[in-house]
Amino acid sequence: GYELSPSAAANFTRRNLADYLRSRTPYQVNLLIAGFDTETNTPELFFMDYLASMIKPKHAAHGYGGFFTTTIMDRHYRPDMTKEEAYSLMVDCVKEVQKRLIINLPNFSVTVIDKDGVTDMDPITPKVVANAA
Amino acid sequence: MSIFEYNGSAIVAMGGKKCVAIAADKRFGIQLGMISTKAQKIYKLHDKLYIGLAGLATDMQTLKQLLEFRLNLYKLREEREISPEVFANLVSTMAYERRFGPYFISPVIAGLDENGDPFVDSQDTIGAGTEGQEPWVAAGTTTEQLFGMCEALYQPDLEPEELFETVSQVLLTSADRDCLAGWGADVYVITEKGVTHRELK
Repeated sequence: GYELSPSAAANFTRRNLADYLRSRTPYQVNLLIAGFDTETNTPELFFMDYLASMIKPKHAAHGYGGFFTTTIMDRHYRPDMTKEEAYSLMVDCVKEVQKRLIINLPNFSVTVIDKDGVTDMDPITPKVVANAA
Repeated sequence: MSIFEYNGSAIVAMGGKKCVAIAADKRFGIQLGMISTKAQKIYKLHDKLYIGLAGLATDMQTLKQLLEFRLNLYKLREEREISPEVFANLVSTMAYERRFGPYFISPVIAGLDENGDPFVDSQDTIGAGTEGQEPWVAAGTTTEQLFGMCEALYQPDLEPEELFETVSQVLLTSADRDCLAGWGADVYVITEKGVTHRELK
């Protein structure tokens, strides 16, 4: 057989989430599904809220922090960014979240998905943020 | 907050002379935040039948999939395309089946009947429709504004180009007065010859 494409996985998840929404046991989870489609050789991102409404944006975020990071990404995101540039944008987003949110969130993990699969990048820690400033 | 105002949308459909137009905004938002400006709210069912879905986004997506499913079954059995009147009745029946746990959707159906005359229908959450009796219909969070603009700008028997201009003005002006709708528009004009799809900013 062959593995599920990101689009198939996302749509399956949406269908499941939508079906359970009106059951006695609905799921309450917001999702960002990121994948690399090996057929078309393109990365794909899917945004899904807990009610199972889904969209395919270029960048996305959930939660209160998302209000700030969405605008940061609106300003600085480019479709032809390199991995390093994207990581730097992530650091900018983390910085803003840490500045504006009352809850202390010191550490963030970063994972990248590309043609070579899923790899962890350096976590964004207070040290990384301080160096980037 | 009302469940009908959770996402936000503006949909309008208007009949002309042997043509019909349907237009929708492109905002996908969650309460006060905008998530995307590229949402699709109007779906093609066949060359002469389009449906616009307003209301809760998750139900819009679910209903679109369910309707495609039912339409494919109809086509397999009947070996012809469904007519707008019959389709409107199908949507209505499907909605009423969920009378005590409804889809939070206001569907707007626009198409050309067998004679090439425009058919527009707008339904509430449980399937009560205008049944093709109205020259134009509106749905979504922007209905009040849309009603005003349609009433003011509508004229009977508009040609496709004039209809496009009218519908575009109606939608854009109305959506500008609704914080939950806007961020662009999709306008479809359906005639015997074919469909023109234009995107407005």
